[in-house]
Amino acid sequence: MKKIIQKALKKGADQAELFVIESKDQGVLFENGTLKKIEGSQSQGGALRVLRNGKLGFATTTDFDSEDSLIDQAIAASEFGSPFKFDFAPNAEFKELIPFDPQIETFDEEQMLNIGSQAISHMKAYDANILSSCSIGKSIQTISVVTSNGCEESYDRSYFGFSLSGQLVEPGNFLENYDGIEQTRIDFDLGSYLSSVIQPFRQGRKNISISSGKYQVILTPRALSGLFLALEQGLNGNNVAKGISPLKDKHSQKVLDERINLYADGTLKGTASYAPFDDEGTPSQKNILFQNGVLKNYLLDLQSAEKLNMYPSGNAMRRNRLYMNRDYLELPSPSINSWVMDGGARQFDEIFLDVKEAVLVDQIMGLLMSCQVNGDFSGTISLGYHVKDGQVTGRVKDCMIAGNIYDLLSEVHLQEISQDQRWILGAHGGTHMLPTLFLKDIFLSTK
Amino acid sequence: MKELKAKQRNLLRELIQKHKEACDYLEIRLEQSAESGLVFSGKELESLTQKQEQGGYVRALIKGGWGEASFNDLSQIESYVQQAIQSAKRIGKGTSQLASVNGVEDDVALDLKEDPRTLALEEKVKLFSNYNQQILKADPLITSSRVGYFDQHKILWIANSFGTNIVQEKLDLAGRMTAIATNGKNSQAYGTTFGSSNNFGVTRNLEKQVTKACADAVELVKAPKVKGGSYPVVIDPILTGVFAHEAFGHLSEGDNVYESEQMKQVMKLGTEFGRPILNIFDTGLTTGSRAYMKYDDEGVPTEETPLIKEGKLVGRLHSLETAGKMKEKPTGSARAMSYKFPPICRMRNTCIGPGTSSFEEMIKDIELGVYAVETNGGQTNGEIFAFVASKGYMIRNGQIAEMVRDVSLSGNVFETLKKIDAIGSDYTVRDAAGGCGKGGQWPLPTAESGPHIRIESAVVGGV
Repeated sequence: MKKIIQKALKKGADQAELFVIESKDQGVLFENGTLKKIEGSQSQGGALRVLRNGKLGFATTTDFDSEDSLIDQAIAASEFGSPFKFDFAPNAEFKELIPFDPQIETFDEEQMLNIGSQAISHMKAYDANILSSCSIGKSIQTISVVTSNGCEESYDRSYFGFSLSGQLVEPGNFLENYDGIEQTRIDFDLGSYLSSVIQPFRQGRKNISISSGKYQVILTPRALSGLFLALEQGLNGNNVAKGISPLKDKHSQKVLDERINLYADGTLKGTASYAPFDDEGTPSQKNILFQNGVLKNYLLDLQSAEKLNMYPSGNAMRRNRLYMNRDYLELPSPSINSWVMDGGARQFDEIFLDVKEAVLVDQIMGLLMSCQVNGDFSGTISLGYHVKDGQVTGRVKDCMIAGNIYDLLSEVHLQEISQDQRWILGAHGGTHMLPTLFLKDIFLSTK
Repeated sequence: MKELKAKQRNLLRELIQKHKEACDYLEIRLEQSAESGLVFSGKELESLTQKQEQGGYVRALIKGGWGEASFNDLSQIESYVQQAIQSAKRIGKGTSQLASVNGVEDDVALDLKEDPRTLALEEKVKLFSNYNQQILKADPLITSSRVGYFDQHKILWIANSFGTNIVQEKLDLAGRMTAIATNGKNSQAYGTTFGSSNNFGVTRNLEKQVTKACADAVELVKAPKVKGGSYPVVIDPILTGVFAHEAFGHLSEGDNVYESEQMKQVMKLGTEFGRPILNIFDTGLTTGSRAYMKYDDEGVPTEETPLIKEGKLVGRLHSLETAGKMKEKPTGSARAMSYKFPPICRMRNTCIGPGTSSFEEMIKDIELGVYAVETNGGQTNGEIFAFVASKGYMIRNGQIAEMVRDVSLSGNVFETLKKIDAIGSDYTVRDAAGGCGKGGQWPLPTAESGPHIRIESAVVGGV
């Protein structure tokens, strides 16, 4: 890798950075109640960024035998870029964060098939009409970042993924649910996912229609992770630097309700985003975004940090924009690794018992298209329930929720935050540790 | 390139020949691709990228069990074939049910009007820089812009144990030019988009479209939010296409049906889905469209597949496996986004066929309604669809009234299809940047087409 950096400098680059990811994956898939396939994959890919006269060029390849063409392409692209003032990562001190669980080596297909069979039989035993699918996979990756400024780092990462879904089609009614986890450690509690996937099939087979109007709304961690798409855009250092984020001049000011403490954390052992450094070689950290509702920091990569005269926050990621999986083909940009939000004073169950009437929202569809940098969002409640006197009465359908994330998280709407949080697979990728929010006066449109 | 094409075809022929006896079905795909892309964001040329990829995907089917392997170390290809066969052997315990097709030998060359590869990078940068400048200078309220473009050239090889051995060259290019207007705390974006599989020329002479997008962004940022509720809705041809894709297309994908007795009941051929004015089809034959293809990624010739004819369900989109299990014909709809993925049932160009109504006829009886125009995307979970219009207008007393923003539409797929009560004659084919996502595969190039349609009522999100 160092050779490619040196060659790039020789060919005219002022600075160069090479990101390489090598991956070996294995997985099994159960589909519609039966074991469907075993899959394996081998992949390697590298991305070269060069800066020449302050202009940025970017090229990627899967074939390192053609390193000259990789370098030439990156240099050619740097002819036209706009001048940027930033430096690739220097040699830095990294905390001893090792996202590798040695048990991954012995975690084999037999064990994967075992987990899958258990999950599928459990779903069938609950109700044979529910069609369930389950995937279990592992991956061993090596991720390296080398720059001409002295950064020469690499780490091995283990990765375990589990997902389970169920689908029930009844006359006039489709009911679907999924849950799962992605993490760098192997051990997990299958039981909790089984009950979580089954829950809507217990509670959501009866439909309740409600009329348009203002409701108390309960946002589960999963629903909240979806709405945080709007918040992520505002916290994105690039949008702040461009002046289009509503948070651009709000640093150190109170923006949200004082009970809100929110972090982007890449240092939590065993989680999917646990890593010694981000995709540009900046050390991982617990990035405090909001403390007691006060805006403390943004999501910053090298470039946006330079523009804002701040420090990079370890949030540079190269990822597919829809599925949010790591992808060397993408340029690094400020991005959330894991949302972590502090809980409140009372347990969910205790608050829930006090609820007179509310709509509990668990899945919202359409946010990816509707979330805007100003915080506005609008989506369809694809899984939600009506709650009366502390009891779920049935499923709410044909119902849309719209608003602004900054309003939701302010005193205007925020009633209470549950004490209990949960690691969830984000509605739009990533894994997050979030509580449940109780909100008041939220307008819902229905048919 | 000719040599490479022939060399890989021979390699695949030999590998299939050598290993096919061990399998009920064996398929090997290889791919080599090169892509250029650029993004202007505000005044800056934010990125200029060049990507090269190569890799392959093997699928083996034995007694109903699939073994699959993807790789980009081409020197080890045979070991991945063996790995896939081993995996399939390990889990295959039933019977393989795959539609049988005749093997096809073909070498599909590009037939281009203008080839983006003949242009220097500099010329592409200049062209899009001009559009970007045009946006930034258009109006004092326009504070930023986003102009993105990419072109991708691929060589795809597919060989399988039916005797198919095909090499295809493909071009895909698309882009979007967006104006961002800011008014106080509010900012709104509006864009114009293009796409093609055979002509760089579609990127030229777009100044008028850019001017219009700028004007829309400026008007939108001053427009009020739509008031949420249930309304009669008229949607423009672009949204109609997205509606066809989200509200019905996904439901017609064979893999949503083939193993579910419940879904087979819901999607029984002959079932009434709409009024007799409703016709929906999906086609891979639209020359020049991003959804055009001669063969799908299982080597099956593509076609125009009728899905709804005069309101009744008449077909669905199949892969070899879903067609085999349902004892229906494959439709050339098995698509893979790249060598990293298996082919699955996907749409191509999904269309609502033209009707006879004029736009004026559609709106004249609406006392209070919404006219929704163009799209920022859509989503479905099978039963419920949601999409976001780029802009909307209130319809008051049969007339188009004020512009409104943040127009999201949602509804029950089955109910809403039956509520389509007027279909326009102004059928339009649309190619755009972006694409469809399913099963981790995104963005797959698709197209959507249709005329204006009227829906008796749909839920519009708002505050």
